[in-house]
Amino acid sequence: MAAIIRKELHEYFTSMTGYASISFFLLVIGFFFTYFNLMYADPDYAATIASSIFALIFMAPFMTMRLFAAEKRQKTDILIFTSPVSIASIVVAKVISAITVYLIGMAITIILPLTLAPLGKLPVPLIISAYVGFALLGACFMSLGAFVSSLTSNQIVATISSCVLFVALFAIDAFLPLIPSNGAWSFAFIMALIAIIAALTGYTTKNYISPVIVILVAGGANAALFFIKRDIFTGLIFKILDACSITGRFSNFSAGVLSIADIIFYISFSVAMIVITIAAIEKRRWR
Amino acid sequence: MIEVSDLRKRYGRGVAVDGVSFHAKPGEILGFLGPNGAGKTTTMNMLTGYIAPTDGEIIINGFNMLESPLKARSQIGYLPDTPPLYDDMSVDEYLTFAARLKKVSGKDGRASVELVKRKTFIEDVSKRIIKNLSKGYRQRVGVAQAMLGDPKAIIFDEPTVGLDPQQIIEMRSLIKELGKKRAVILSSHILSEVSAVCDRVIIMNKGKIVASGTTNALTRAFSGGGGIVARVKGERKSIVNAFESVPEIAEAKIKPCQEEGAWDVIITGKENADVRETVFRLMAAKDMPLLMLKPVDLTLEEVFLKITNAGEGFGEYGGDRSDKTGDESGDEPGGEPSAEKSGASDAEANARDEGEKEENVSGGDN
Repeated sequence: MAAIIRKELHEYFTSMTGYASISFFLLVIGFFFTYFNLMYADPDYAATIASSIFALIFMAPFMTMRLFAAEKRQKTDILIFTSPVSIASIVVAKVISAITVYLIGMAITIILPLTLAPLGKLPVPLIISAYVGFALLGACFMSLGAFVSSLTSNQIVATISSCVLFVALFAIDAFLPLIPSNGAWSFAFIMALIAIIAALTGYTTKNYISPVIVILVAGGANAALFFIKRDIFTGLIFKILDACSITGRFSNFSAGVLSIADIIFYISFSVAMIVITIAAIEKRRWR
Repeated sequence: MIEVSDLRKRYGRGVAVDGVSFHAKPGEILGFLGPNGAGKTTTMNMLTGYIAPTDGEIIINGFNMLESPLKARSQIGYLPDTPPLYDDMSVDEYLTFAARLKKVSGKDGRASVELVKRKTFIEDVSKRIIKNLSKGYRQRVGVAQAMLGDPKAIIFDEPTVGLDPQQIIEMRSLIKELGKKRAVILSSHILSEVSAVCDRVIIMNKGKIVASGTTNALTRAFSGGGGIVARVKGERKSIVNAFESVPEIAEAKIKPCQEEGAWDVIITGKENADVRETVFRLMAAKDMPLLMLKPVDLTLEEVFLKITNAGEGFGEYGGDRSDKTGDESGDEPGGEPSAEKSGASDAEANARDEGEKEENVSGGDN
């Protein structure tokens, strides 16, 4: 595992990938820092971080695109996957190395609040909380990007797909207020989700029986619930999307609220992404 | 060392490898021969744990590939058909990384890297970036990688493709040296390559083993029906006439050769009998100088045609039979298939000869 982390970090910093992504990130945060904290003389550095998280939309795909796609294209995946290292540790090592580069970029930005310190009283707990959230959010994005990269051998495809995915993640928050809260819509939304899950089951198991079972059982349960306890469906879409929103949770961190639930959500999201990446690679071996 | 039983791989509805069983001992070089798409690469990818078999068992040095994959993989060095190289690394960086990946690090790792560089003659390119290396050097770096950590079994997928004749000879002697203590498996679609290096050969076609045995037994079995080539100096017409009325000869085909005033005659004996003596006496009697006499080198296609034509008669060519000479022709029902084949167009045969030339030359050395 250490061998792969060393190799990945070496690749990040012998190619322009590592430097370019860190520079881009510094540019974005530097811009907001100058605008909010310097020009408007606002000590709220956490707001600067909160505004800069959109940089991840571009930075994360750029940093993760090559993790698996490039290995597949230059056929070096054979070397790695036939070595006495488990697939799980390979995936974890790659995600850790991407997160490490991200954290290096983040560490540099600590200079910014420090330059503000002599000018007045800094809201230190707020800044620490924002940084914790920022690191965790980065971990989520890197692991999601790594997953997308494991699906293709084309780096461009990997970059664009994860970019689109990240924009969608941000867009969920923007569209949340517009979502209808009435029960019938929620019912339809759940049914659509069940249909998607059924389609995926059919696709992965390659038979017609399992998706039918999924639709009958889950759809039946959904319909039964709808007729028995209709009131739980009110505003359900909002609740589900709000709970799943990665970027939405970040506002808690930048507001200085360090809740265990949020931290666990971010960590389990990253772990889930790593697990499905491992599963995707394992599945390709068996296909 | 390597034991494989009833290995299968299905891709969707297609079957890439269909019930393959074999074994390789330490100190043995096993050759996999077969046309493109015969399932050689798929078999090797399964042996090394890169892809999982649909069915069957792989045991490497006592470790089952499915039950303890990491231990099984650590016994193997693998050079895939495309060497798995990182273009942006230098040779040293690459080998150091590969050594760490194989859990050979620190002092042992450095020693191992130096050793494989010396063995594969790549010390002078240690500091070069891999993307700037020529095909031959890339291949050698790939081989060096497979040798790192002194694995018990080494698997080479088409190791000499793209190398020049000199490099091919070097590669073959390296493989032979590796095969002294380890189990080495290599694949190729060139018969002379396999016969030059391997102790035992497995011939695959359409995912199945169609023939296997020691190299000597196979070569003799297959060259028996191929006939001989005699290069004769003289007029075309008189040469044709000379061969016409000989009872031992089933067929004689004449075609031009590179030497001026001489012709190549491809001769097949009746029931594949050895007609070399007959030809010698015949030419001596007719006062036609015999410039060359050699068995027809069968190309892989011809071996395949022979195997498929022979049907079930071909199977195991065991080493215990190697003392019986001239016996193999009995396994073969008739010489018609090869006679038909020599009827193939001369242009095609020539083109094939051109392509095979360097193989034959270097194969002859061994």
